[in-house]
Amino acid sequence: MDRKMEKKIIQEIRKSAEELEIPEGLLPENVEARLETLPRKNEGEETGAARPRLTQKGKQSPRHRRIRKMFPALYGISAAALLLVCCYTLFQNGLMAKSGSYDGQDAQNMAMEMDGEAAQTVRGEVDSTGAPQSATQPPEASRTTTGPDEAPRSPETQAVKNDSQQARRFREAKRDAGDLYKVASNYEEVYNLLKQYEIVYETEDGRSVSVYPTEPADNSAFGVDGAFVEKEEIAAGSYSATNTQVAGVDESDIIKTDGVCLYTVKDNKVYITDIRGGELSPLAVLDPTRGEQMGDVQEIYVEEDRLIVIASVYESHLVEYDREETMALREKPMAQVVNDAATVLYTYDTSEKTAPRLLGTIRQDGEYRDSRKIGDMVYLFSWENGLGARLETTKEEDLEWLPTVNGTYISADHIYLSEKGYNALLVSSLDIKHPGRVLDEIMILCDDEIYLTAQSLYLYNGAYMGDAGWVTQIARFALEDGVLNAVGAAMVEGTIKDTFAINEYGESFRVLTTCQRMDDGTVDNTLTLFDLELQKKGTLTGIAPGETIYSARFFENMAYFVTYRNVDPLFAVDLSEESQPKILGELELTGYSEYLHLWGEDKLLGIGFETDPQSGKRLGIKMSMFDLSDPAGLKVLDSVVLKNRYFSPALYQYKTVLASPEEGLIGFAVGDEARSYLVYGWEEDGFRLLLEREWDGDSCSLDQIRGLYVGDMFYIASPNQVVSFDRKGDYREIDALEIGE
Amino acid sequence: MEQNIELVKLAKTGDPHAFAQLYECVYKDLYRFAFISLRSREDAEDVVGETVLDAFTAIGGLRREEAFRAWIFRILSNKCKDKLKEYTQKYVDWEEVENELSYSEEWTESVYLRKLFGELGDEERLIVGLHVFGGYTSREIAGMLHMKANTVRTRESRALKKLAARMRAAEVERNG
Repeated sequence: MDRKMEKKIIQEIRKSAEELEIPEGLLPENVEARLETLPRKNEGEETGAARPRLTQKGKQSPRHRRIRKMFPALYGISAAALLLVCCYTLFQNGLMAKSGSYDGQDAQNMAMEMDGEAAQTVRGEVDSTGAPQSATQPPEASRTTTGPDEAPRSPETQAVKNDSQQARRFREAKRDAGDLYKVASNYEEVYNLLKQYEIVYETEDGRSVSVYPTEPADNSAFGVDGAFVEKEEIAAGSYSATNTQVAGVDESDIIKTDGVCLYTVKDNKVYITDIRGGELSPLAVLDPTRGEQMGDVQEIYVEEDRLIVIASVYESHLVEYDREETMALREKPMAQVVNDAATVLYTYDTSEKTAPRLLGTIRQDGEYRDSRKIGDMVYLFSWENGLGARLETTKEEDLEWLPTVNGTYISADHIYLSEKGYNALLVSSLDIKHPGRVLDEIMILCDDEIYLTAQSLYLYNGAYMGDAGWVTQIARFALEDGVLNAVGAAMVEGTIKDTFAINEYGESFRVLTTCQRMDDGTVDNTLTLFDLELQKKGTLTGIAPGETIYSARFFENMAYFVTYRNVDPLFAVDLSEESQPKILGELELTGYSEYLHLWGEDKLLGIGFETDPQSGKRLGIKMSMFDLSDPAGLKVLDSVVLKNRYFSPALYQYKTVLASPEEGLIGFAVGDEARSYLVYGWEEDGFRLLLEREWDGDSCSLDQIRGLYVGDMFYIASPNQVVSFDRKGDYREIDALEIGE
Repeated sequence: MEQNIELVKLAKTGDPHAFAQLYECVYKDLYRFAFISLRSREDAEDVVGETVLDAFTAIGGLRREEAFRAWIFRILSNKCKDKLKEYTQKYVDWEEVENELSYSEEWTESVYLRKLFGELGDEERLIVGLHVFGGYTSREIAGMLHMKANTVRTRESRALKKLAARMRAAEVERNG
């Protein structure tokens, strides 16, 4: 959840380690001198032929001892895996038996619904030969592309069972994304590309052993979290939706409401609670991953009569390696329990709230990365980390090294190759009206971050180019009725510091990057404008030298962003003349904003820190409202400083923020020692504190707390509890409920 | 990148200068990783030294030139694991021994962070170290430490949270 915070502490660890003094003996020149004294082997040999042995230098015996010592431990691991399977089954049965006040009947229902699926998905028997047993239907090796196939119209006929993907309506060939991602022409090409990552060792007796270690993942790859904000679309009947990056593009979350019920992800289940009128009563509990060996419910979407649950599921296999090979390759054990991850999307009919009915599932390889929902269309992203490792245990011709989507190997012409290593991002799309069927799927060999609008998917990532420093590579894929196809690729100098620093509006696409010059280490910022073919239209360079971007927000043809160096300049840049963006205004005030949210047509809400202008010391969390009506004369309308409050998830995870200009409501959690949830109203140009509710004694993390409203009611919810308040009665507490108790 | 591939090719022929140039790009992180995993300056220097010799001897087996960094890190991480195992057999009481990570002339936030880092468990230090300095993903670390990728993620995230919480506590204390 709080990857951004983790990233921050990782940066700090890195920084603190940089101060360590490196011993002289390890300096490259000294090492080189030492290597010079070694006997020069391989002299005159050809490059490829030089294959010294790893087990040289008389290190053999201790090595072998160590490996032998490992055996008992390894058997231990496999035994533990078996035990785990057994325990898990027991655990599930136990849980289902006592689902408490949440109606257990539904669980029964579920079990029945799931039967067909469960029969297929009970996995994890590790047979004595160690061969992994997968109960997945052997995927079709080749995809039969049939003509436009009318989808079964009635949801009943396709309930539970996954539709075959053969009903493929779209046959337009995938295009390359510039030079960045190229469509594979066949499986052989994909295989050979992955094969490049192979490392071959030669054993004592002259046999070759291959492994696929570890391409260092791009360090910037893990920044996903960020991204997005804005109130969502369909606020029908006025209830709050998850705060997202792009208006109209919904994002999954752990707690959501449809205006009638509250849906909560807790302990791998989804709890449905009736919250009408502030009275809280448990309705049902769903256990979607029941029947999987190991399941982990991640996040959900809700809308009228539909609940979408996304889970990661894992299957353990015991993989044994050849004994000789193991000896030669010290880092590889004789056998290893390997967990294959898949992402499963379950669509439920919730027209009967007490008994949701499973309509269909989509399953794709890889761990859940992210998803987006636009109306009925859902885009599901998962990633396979280290595809090459699959080559170790499978043969090229068996195709088992290929990831699957809904039981079908991804076809070669849907695979985008790159030079970025062998991590793969899988994207599939579905229409929740036909919830078992995948409309389209692609796999891209990358670790990129995701920005998705109604018409485009952008994949972007930082890349280090040596002397040229850091650049950001961006590819755009057009989205049309769930079909993805590449349009182009581009590269800009610098890296994207804030997920809101990337934006598409109408026919234009723009990014704000922070650039560090490699020669003198100086920093400045660049704004680059593109058209939707990713052709560059204009740039504004040299913005705020010496400062980096803290937060950003685009609104139509304006860009607003905050840089920081003891004081906080808020910039307003006019983008209407694509080739000549110009800075209209600049407002300096103390502190800085980590999060910006557009408030109506002409205001901007900032949440960040107040700082001492001299020392830069943080004085507490600060919330400000800016007036944008005159971009050349930006003004602060009001601000609030929470003295001695230094921490809020609002600073790094936009999904935790409630910001509704329509209702004039702002809500977020704060906490250092004492945690609380704060609700502010924005009234006539001033903030007003409406509710400060302590939130102690809950084991959830601060970023799992959400504030929601439905009509006149306000709710504070975490995975463990929900409390309701009367907005019309001074936020009097109405009811409280422990989820799942 | 291009240049790197050329260097690996040269290093494969046994050219110490080429190898040293490759080494130059990674040695700081190698040492940092070894030091924060082992918490001993001397042992860190030793294992990095051994790693260099092993790597120089075995570089002929490196097929994919770009993977030099990942490859040499893997050699090093194995040595660190061995060393840590050795410690447990010898029973080194780190409570007693001075945490060398926090040895410094002056007391700064970085020094404090390193001290806290040194107080993490062996496994936690390995996981975070492999991620931060080796650039490995949790799945790759999982393979190296024979754990589930999930477990690696959970442990890393717990370790980082622990550090973050303690740093924050210290900050709050300082600011009164």
